[in-house]
Amino acid sequence: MAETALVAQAPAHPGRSAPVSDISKRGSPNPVGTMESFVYDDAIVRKFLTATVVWGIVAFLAGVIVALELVVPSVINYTTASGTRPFAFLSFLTNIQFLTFGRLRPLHTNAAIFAFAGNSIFAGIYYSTQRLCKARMWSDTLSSLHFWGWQLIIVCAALTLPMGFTQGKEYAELEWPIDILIAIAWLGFFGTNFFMTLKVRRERHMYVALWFYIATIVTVTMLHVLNSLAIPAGWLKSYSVYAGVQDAMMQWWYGHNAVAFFLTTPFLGLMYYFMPKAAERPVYSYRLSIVHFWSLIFIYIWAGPHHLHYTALPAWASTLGMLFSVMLWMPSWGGGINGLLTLRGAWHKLTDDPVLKFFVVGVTFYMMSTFEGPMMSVKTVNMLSHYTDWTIAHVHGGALGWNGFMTFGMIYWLAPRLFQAPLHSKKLATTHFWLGTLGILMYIIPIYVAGITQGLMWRAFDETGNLKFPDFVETVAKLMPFYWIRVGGGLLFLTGALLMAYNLVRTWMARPARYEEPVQSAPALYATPSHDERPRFVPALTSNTDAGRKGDVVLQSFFNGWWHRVWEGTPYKFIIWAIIAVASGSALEIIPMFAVRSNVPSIASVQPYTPLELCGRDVYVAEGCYNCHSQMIRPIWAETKRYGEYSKPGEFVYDHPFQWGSRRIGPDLAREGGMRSNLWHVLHLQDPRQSITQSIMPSYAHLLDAPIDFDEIQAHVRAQAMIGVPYGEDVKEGVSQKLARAQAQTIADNIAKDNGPKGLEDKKIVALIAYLQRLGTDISKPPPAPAPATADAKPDKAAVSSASAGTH
Amino acid sequence: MRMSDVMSSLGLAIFPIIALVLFLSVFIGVVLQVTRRNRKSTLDNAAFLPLADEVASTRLASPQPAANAKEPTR
Repeated sequence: MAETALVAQAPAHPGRSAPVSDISKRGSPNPVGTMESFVYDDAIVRKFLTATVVWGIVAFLAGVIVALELVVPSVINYTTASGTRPFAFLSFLTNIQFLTFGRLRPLHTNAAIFAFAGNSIFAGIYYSTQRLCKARMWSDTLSSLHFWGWQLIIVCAALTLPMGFTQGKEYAELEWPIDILIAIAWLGFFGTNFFMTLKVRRERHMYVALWFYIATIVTVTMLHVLNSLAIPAGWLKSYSVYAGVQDAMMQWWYGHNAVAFFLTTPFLGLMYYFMPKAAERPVYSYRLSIVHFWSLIFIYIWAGPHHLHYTALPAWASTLGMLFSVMLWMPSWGGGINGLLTLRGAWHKLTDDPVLKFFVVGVTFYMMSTFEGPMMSVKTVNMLSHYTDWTIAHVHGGALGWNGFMTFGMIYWLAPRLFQAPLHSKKLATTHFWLGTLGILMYIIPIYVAGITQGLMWRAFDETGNLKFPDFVETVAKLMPFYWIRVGGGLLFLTGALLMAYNLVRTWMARPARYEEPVQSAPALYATPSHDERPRFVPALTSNTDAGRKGDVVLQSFFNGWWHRVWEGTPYKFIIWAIIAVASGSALEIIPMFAVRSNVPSIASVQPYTPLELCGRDVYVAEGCYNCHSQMIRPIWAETKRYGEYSKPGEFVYDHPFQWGSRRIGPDLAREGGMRSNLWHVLHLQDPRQSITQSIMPSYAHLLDAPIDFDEIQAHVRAQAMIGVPYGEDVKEGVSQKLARAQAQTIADNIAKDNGPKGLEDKKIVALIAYLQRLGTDISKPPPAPAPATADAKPDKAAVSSASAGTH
Repeated sequence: MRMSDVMSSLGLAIFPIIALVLFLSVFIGVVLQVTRRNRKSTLDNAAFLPLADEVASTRLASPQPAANAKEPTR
């Protein structure tokens, strides 16, 4: 360690100029208990590390495949002069229902977030927590259950998502049985194990990395449970208990904080542990890290509504989200700078050490993303960036640059220590670094360009005041060159990860026959604060009254900072304060949204979906249509001109879950109802490129064969009625089925009459068309006549059925 | 009267302001107390914790010689 230089520079810092031999005594100045021996559990870290690498490759590969799926449709019909179609063999990517973009994109995001980043977090936390606590993990059984439970969840996700079992909410797609498994594995196994390890720790002070882990565990539990609340309608089908605006609010409160507390706080904890390790010097400023922690968790929880600017969400909520997002600039950059400056006096190591290279670029990407995020949350910027690829570029800067590179750096640092053999090849690791960096740049730069290009094209008007690009597909076809470059960038990133896997396998092969397990020892910790940590009160006021003395004591103890040290020393009080910080923000933001009725003014003409439309909506959700199509027209001239009347909050009161979407790879569908004939929809879904030559939509020909399960419709209507959708008589056995069959027959007849395919009356495509023809039409209908109290909404629904079955 | 009518009349729009005040006071509190001079040595000790764990293993009352406990170098 280059301690001598530091001595000269900072003689006033006793902590930084101390000889190495003294370091061990730091942190626990008062060894009070008896010496105890223990061994760290590194086997569990090795397991999580392996899983990280394996799932990382799966996630990156899935990413490359979904990137390909966006470009392949533009070339499969390419015909050479001699009449051959050289790219036709790739059409399986758009024809096979299990591989369509709508089903694989959730698989890609879930694999990247929960499988790759998740296992990486666990590997880092299990390694660092044991060492920071000077204790083995509390229970080897729980460690093991956590590991295998989490892998089981991932496998379940990988099986159910391509099959179309989804809740239809981004990053929370997994169905309810898997959601329950997640809650058990996360809090029951991981949380319990972690908090009990804190309890039996032998180091009084909880290092700042541990605070970030605590915030991660408690907040993710809260987010996951509250957002996933749903009524089951079968083993792999459920409906969110929230609807429309409130569901959107919950979803993006969850979605944004999944970024905050799954992809940011745990990785910041890892940064605060592994960065000093790799740089061989303490973090730049421990003070800054305290301010960083409290302000970050306090502010982040508010930022969610910035995903819903100009939507039907009340403006006060999205303004609030914007303000807090802008405030996030400070803690994020404070933390980033703290990480980078940890390298003070050690920058020369950067030339030589791939670990530090990964960390420095990782933290730089963190600062870039957290600069860009607040900027994009400013409403006027968001007006352009929302629904475009700009968002996609932004998240990939964060995910590949920050989460990816921090993970890679950590893996290269851990591997020689865990496998107890020198890293097979430093050169290969450096190659991985450069491939990865190039890959990220090759991904994000063209996608930024694509996003801004498309955003500008959507809002461009010609001199006559009409849309310059009225045909949506024009704005998509323009992006194809950028999408091709992205495939290249993704391939580079994937190749880097494969090099890492090879490097690790070779390192693992050089491991000793039996891993050494050095026995550690540290004095036990008593539960009470040690003597000199208790406040020593010297009353400054020589007051005679007892009250004055007491007040003085309280004030002094506050300003001595004693309270914070007691928190740090007592995990449970600390945990409670962290919960208060995140829960108060959530409650204060969300409760008014649910409670104040003026936030969602009701519209009398908006009625529940008919049973068949509900079934069609299930198909829409299962196929993952929301991954490419929004259902939310913003009150912006260019949008009302293109799509029609802007969306109102009252239109979504029966939408369990909401399907507003976050990206328009295809056009918005909020006012799709009645725009086109039923037959047009059949032909378009069957082969999109027959109707729209440049379309990149997958083919949904399988919907012409898949039969509707009419019995299921009855169960689904009942589940919807349970969460408050006024279905009236429809919940009675057989009623919904009958209604659905009748409406399906009408639509099928209409299609047959137009010389379309025959015999579709029991096929899923009819249900989907019924739903599409209903979208956004209620608002222009006359409000229902005040019905007599005995007859429910049935007459209205009959009217709705006949209206939506019409051709135009 | 529905629950939401009751809630509407409570003036909950003030909630975000309350939260802002709450946050600002916690923030100022944290900043004030971390910048107290007498916390310096505690914080410096804390900052060294990640570096202390490996050294700890070399001075243990372990049956193995200390050299064994050293982590492999890259």
